[in-house]
Amino acid sequence: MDIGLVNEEARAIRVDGALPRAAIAGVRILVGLLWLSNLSWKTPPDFRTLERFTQWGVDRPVFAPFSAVIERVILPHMAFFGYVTLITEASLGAFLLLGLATRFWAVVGMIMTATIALTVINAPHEWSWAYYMMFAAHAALWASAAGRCFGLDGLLRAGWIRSDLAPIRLLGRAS
Amino acid sequence: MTSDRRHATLILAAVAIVAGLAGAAAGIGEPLLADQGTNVGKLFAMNTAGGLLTIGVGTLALASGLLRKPVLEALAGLGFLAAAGLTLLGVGRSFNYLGGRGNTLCLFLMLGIGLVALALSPQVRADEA
Repeated sequence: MDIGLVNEEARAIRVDGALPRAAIAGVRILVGLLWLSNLSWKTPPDFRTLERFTQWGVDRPVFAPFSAVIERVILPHMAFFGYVTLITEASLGAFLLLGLATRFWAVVGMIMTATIALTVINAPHEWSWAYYMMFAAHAALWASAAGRCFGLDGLLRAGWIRSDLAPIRLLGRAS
Repeated sequence: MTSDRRHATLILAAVAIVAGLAGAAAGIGEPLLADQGTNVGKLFAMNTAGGLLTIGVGTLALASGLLRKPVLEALAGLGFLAAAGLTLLGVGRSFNYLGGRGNTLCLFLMLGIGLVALALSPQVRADEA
């Protein structure tokens, strides 16, 4: 008996069943709702609440170089970075809920989670494991290409990867 | 329009119509164009005008799915993207005509991008796949 083949068989993961696919889609939708529901307090034009949270990155620094960036670049231009945050998080919610270009947006979610964690993880009453789990959830969405389970990626990807247009083929890679 | 795409369109249309009905119902008793819409659960906020617009554009999306007309689907998607633009410009200001917040922007973006992607993405015939 070929031990290599036996091990390969033992390591194989079956995700083609309806239940595993529904679980993957469920995680994707939950993460999308997480971004959507946390947008209510990011209010232009002054983003006052967001600014208060961002200030924790200076008052209780997590990583000194990033703290310096917050103090010298982000806080003096809060309106601009507030809009960047609002648009990025709204897009994260929208694309993850749809399951569209999911692997790309899962990577954006990991970057965004790391940025938030580096800002507020030392703030009072923050539970640091929430950010580790949030990062892990996005990593799982990326690894499982979660938009192919009950998402638009699964529905549209075949057309994207066969397209003559490079930007459309790119969508295939992002999914 | 394949049947899978049609189902996805109908699901997005249903989400829009239910969200619009919930938004319009929550806004009863408030001014039609209140710049701070009423919260629907902790998911999104809109005023009565926002709710009615969402129902209207959602109905257009529903018609596109029932009639298998991608042009109507793209129009509905563009309608929701316009609503997203209006919300982005108006949120936190006196001209927030749809009464939305950041999460309403997310909802409109999801509906708009989803419908436009469904309408414009190239289709693959079964014998090509």
